[in-house]
Amino acid sequence: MQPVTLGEFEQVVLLTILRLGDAAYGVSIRKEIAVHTDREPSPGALYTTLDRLEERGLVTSSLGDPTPQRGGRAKRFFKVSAKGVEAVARVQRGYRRLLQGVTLPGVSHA
Amino acid sequence: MRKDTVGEWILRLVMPGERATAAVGDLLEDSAGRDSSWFWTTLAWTVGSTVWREMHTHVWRLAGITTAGFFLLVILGLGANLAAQAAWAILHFVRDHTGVELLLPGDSLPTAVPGWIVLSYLRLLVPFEVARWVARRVRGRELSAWLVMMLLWPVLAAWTKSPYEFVWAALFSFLGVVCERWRTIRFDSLTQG
Repeated sequence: MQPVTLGEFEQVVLLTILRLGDAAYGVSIRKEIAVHTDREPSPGALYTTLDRLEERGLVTSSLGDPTPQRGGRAKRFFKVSAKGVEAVARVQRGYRRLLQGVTLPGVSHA
Repeated sequence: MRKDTVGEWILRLVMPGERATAAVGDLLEDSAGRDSSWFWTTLAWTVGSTVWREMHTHVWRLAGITTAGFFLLVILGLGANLAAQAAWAILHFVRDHTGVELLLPGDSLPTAVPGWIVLSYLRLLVPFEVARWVARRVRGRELSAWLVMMLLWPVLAAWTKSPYEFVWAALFSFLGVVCERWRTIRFDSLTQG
């Protein structure tokens, strides 16, 4: 079976959901990405990525309770599935192996 | 009407109901402290990127269904033309053989009453109904299907040398798609209680 491939933004999203744990929904994922990567993804780009990851079985989603500050609308919470954890771990292991023994000019530690 | 209600209705054209509801909730929460142009711009980007992804991911299915829709359009058009020709011939036969004076302003179809009916049918009803037929086969991707129709139908019309009026087809197929989507939303909301 072919290993699951992940794009760069897909990895960012998966790692962010893992960081946020039970509090991962659209707004919190966007804020967390902005804090840690110095870029603010558009909601459209985030939703299409989340939908694609869900279609591929890498994340699951469920609806929370409606809240007043959202006009009585529920949050859609995301969790990384076992398949998603395995995929992101495998890609990150590959990055770490590639970085071993490499000195990046002007960077104290990678 | 409130912006979140309108926004949710627009998003429901391109994604399943509960996802659209949650996405508008996110936009509403995120837009606190920003002006309303942020809400609408972000909503437009969300619609655009969702439609683009749908077109990209399901391109062959959408192309297949909309191509079938085009040939349905041609068949219904030919059928209407044949029916009009038959009606025309019968009217002429009655006038010529019975002496009954019928108001037939000319021999060319577009200037005559049956011709006007056929033209209206071809311009308005056929694209509307064909778009609804297509939309029923791609539930949740109606807007993407409409965009594929608008890209593919002029090419197919040129290739098959079929008469095709872009503006009428675009307008009434869009109405057909929106009508079908609205019907689905109503049905979903009724069945969900």
